[in-house]
Amino acid sequence: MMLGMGLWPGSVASPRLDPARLFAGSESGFALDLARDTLSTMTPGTGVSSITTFVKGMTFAQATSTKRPTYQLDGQLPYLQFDGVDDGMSMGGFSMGATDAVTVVAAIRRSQSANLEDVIGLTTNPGNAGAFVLASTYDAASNTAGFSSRGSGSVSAARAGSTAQGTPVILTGQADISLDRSLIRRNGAEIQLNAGDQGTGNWSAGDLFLGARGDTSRFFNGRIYALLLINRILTTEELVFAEAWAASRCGVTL
Amino acid sequence: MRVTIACPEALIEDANQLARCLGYSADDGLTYGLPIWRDAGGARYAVASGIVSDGFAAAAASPLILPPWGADLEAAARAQAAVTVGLPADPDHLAAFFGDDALAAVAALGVTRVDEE
Repeated sequence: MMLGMGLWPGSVASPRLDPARLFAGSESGFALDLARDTLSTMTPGTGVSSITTFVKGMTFAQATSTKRPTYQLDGQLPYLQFDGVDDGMSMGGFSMGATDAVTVVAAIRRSQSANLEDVIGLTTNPGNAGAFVLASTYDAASNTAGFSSRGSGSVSAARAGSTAQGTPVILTGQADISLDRSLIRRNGAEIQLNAGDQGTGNWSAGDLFLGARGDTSRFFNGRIYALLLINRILTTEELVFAEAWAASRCGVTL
Repeated sequence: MRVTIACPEALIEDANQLARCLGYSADDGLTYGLPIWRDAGGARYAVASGIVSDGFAAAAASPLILPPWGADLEAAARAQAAVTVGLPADPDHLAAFFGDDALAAVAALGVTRVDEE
């Protein structure tokens, strides 16, 4: 059955909001969407030991039972609930390929917390060369979200200001090491671009951490509805598309 | 049912042996991680919080059984003897708190997270 324009309100089957189309080449990355991923459980309130993303089939896992986020439903919207105490997942041996660019789009909702919290980061320490991190709380003092990246030079961080607690938000981070670009967007609007010198080099291969830093600190307290990570700078049109997809997964209107 | 447990730094190894006995695999021996939480007196703790079965409290108080993946039962027994329920964290006890909100439980335990900037 054909539906007319505007009649695909972000439904799971909507071809116009399928982020798989962004991976038409040899891109590395994934799109995580709890409505379409393969999860170890889909019983609300139970711990998720593994998720295999519906785009690119990448697997996040957590072997320790108390550290697993729980699968939850907000009406029809599924999400992962991270407790802010010890929950986190990781993807071992992740490779961004021989690239120095990245775009991350996350649909999240923070809970109450004054702690530093990471949403997703490459390697155990984003202060290392070839690492990046998207944080819902990057600076504790200013309680601001942020995205940072680094090549062989210094860490370059862009900050998005405070994101409301208890309200879904779309956070987007983009970085290009050689172009000295680290940028953050909130709900489809660019908030800050940091053009500081990041040095040279590509992203390191290593573990990718979801909801915590290195599985040991900066535990995220809140919900992750959807997440897209790709090893290139999306075009403006693609970025608008990706953010619209993420927004559709958490009920945000951009 | 969610349980949140503050484990004093000195009891982390013993507590992880107890977690191996009460858990579902050898990986539950990593339940207590870095002691990044502190009480008002500055004592450091590892905190774990997770969903457990309804029978967890009874199992945690029962005689320990060696799991198929192995555990140090003496260490686990030391940790078991140190468990308290519903009391604030202190450096001599594994303080457990039952409640659905993990951060509310942490507040009840009287510990705060110390993040490195």
